[in-house]
Amino acid sequence: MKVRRVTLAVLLLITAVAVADIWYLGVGAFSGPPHFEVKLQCKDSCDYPSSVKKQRFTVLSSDLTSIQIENQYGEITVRGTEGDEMTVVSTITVYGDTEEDAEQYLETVQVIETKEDSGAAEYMLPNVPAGPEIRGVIVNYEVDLPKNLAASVGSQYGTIRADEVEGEMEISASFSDVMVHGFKGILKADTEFSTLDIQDLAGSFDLDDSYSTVKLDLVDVQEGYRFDLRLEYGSLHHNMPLEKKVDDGNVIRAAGKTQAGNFPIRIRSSFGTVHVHVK
Amino acid sequence: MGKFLRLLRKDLEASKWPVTMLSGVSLIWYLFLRLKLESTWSLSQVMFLLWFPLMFLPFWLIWESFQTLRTEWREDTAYTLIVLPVPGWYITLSKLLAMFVEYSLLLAVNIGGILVIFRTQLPEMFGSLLQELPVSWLIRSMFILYLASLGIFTYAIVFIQLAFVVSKMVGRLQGLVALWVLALASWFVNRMGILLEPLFRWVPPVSLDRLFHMERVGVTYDSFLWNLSPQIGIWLAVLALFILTAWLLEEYVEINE
Repeated sequence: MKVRRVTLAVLLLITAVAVADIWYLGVGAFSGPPHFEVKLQCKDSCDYPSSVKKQRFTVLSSDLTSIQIENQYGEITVRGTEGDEMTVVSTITVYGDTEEDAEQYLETVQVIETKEDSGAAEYMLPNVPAGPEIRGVIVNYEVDLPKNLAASVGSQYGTIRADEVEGEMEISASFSDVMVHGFKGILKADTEFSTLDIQDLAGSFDLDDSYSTVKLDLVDVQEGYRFDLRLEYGSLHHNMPLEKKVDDGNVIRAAGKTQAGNFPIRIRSSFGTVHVHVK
Repeated sequence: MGKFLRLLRKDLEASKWPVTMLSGVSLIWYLFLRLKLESTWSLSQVMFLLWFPLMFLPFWLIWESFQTLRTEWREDTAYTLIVLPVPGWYITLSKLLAMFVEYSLLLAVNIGGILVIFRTQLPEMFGSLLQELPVSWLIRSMFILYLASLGIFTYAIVFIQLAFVVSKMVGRLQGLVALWVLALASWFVNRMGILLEPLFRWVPPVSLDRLFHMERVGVTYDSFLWNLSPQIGIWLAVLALFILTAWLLEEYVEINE
């Protein structure tokens, strides 16, 4: 019996201390110092020593039918050009525990250019295993793309920019930012968990997407646009008249056209937000 | 040491049937899913249902850590256990280690079962993952996560052992007292972590991206730091509760209610 009484007494005493502790210090005092912290290190202000190497590839557009670039973490910038030379400038940055580590590793990596008989060229950094002393490898690509040369660019956790490009372009992106400005031609995109900001597009657009925010600003051209939009579990914002149907409360279908309706705008989105505006 | 190993063997013997049964149920579940995959169900449906036995594992472990002590009372072996010429921590530690062995065995059976039963579907199921992540990195990271899970389970098991032992020291409302003790133990451990934190600020944080070699999978932007200073106080508090449980079991628990 004595043990039972003492046990209960001790439990009550500890409970009283706990209640007093919570009463006076509040529940917020329970959080204490953080157990985990995130130290952000963006690539521009990386704390680690780095080493940089540039490579330049130049090909006559008459020798090519298309180019393809796949990238992770870095940036791909594609600029439309009037000339007949296609150039790719790749900048490889290696971060290491020491500058020597970064330099040594940088000597072992390079962007590879692969050309096929069909005229397709591919640029990529082969996946070379890094030791624990290497803190990261980032490749940025700058492409000057002549008119009507098809391009396919892909990015994971990175950025894609396209300025004043004319022709046919395919974009695949996940967890990335995509910014397209002044594009003319056929643009296809396959994206997820990304943001797409497409300004001044004049041409057709085909998008398959999930979990992204899409902003599409179209130039009001005489050829006009024909809209075929389908959003599952998402929201649609637009400034042109569209015939809208909502099935089961979850699927939005919208169709319509402006002017002659020659350029198809097809969007398939799940769990995304889509803004479509015709200027 | 011999006495401790005998206790451990006894606890492992006792868990033989539950482990065998659970392993069998898990393997039957995987075989069922494999058959369904070949007939009607899609790969995504099967992938979703595949993880159910592994998700159930932590809950089973928590229940089993309570059950392993409860069985001693239910089958009247508690008295023999307590009068054995061994310190109380031999008893609680052997049960803790037995739980680790059970957990590890069940984990191995489940992962092995998935790899063997779905061996022809593995490229389709995990192909894209294996293209992105090196196998050696995956194995190393999973081993670190396995060790981390053992650490978390240690917290849970020590809490449950203390709650059960204290509940046996009162005459009535033992379930309620056990819950009461669980709440107080959580408060105590948390408070100790905060109070002792200034003493251990000199301990450098552990960089999780270095521990997991995140650069091998291309993650270089963020550095996740694990602050050990509040953690050490929590570890010490859990150790104190473990010692307290063993002492109470050895000195004060009453068998005849």
